[in-house]
Amino acid sequence: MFGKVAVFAALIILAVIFQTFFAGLISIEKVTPDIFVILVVYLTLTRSLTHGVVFAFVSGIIEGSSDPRMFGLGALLKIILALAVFFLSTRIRLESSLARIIVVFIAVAVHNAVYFMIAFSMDIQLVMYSTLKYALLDAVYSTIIAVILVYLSVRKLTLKFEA
Amino acid sequence: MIAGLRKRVSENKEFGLTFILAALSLIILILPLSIKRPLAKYTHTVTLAPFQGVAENLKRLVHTNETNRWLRKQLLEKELAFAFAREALEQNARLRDSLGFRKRKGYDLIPAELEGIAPKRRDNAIVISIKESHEVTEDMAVVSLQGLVGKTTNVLGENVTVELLTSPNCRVAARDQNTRTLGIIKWNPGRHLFLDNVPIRDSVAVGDTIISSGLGGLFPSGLPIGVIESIRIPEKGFFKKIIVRPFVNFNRLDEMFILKDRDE
Repeated sequence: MFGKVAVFAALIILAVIFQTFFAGLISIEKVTPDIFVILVVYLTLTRSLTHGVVFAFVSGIIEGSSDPRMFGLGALLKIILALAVFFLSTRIRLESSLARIIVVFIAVAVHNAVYFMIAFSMDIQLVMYSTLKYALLDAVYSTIIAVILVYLSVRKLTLKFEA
Repeated sequence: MIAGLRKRVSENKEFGLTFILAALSLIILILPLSIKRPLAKYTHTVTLAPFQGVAENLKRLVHTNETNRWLRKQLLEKELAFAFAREALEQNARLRDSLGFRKRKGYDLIPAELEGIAPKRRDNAIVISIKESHEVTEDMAVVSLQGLVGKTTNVLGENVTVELLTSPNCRVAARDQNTRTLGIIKWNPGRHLFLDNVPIRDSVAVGDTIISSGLGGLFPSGLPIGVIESIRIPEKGFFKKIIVRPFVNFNRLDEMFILKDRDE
């Protein structure tokens, strides 16, 4: 039990470090990969709903702390996202890497679009602009990162199997 | 329905946990800002601030040499300009005094550095860092060497969120420096800065400098905002469509200053 909690805490710390140090460095024209959403999807699909939801809550609270007005919104959206991904995975087979990558794309795009809708009080012009400029591009960038992560995990498994 | 939900929750611990965490998030979200602010500040201080501090120090170290050279050059140029300006200022003070004008307000400059871009509000807001000893509150003007940047909104210890001119929430009472025509600087999302509320009959010209008028009460007068890029007279309506190119490049912000009223 203690080991599981430690691994989980380490994962959160690593995600925070990535989002703080590297996401800014590898951002292109302010478009950044959303490692938190990638991990919420990954944990929900590969571990369990509990893992996904707890990570969604903790990462959402941490991420949202820099904007007190929207504090709690990130956590709520990520939890709903984890739940949606869980329900989707119970109805459609999401075991192939391609399906999981598509889920990451949709998850990041929907998460950001809904966030913009609430954060900008449904100002349609601003929401449309931010969604088209950032939500979709963030989703593309996150998908690329997810592809790399999936490739690395598959490669690791292949090497293990060959050994 | 509630009984069914309760049964399902009790049957399935996973859904129970999901429900509890979602409810907790919703409660946090709908809490009043006076409660959310300290809660967010504490969370930020415990979780993000240590990492952001290290990241910021590393970034500063990398840019120190480059900034140093640039600052030295700027210092020389500004020293020269300052000598002339001081002379003009003293003359202006003497003349104002002799005409019986009210004394102008003085402002202290609180130095600040770019900490990061406000998450999810990348075009509208940034986070800057200051020394905690400075008394910074909401609604203080933020400037860079190029001109007006925006206004302060949230203050979380050393981190201050700045609403940029590119935010729909940041409007500035402004005037044309040459013709003294008054207007309001507004941002049209994804497009340009506009000088709004300028009647068709009022004279403004392309290339004129736009400065803050100080009439809004929030921004002091005379802060450079930008130059008029184009003017269009609409077929319908009473006001000119004036596009202003800001002096500040909002993608290359670095050192900034918060203006603090000396009388406060």
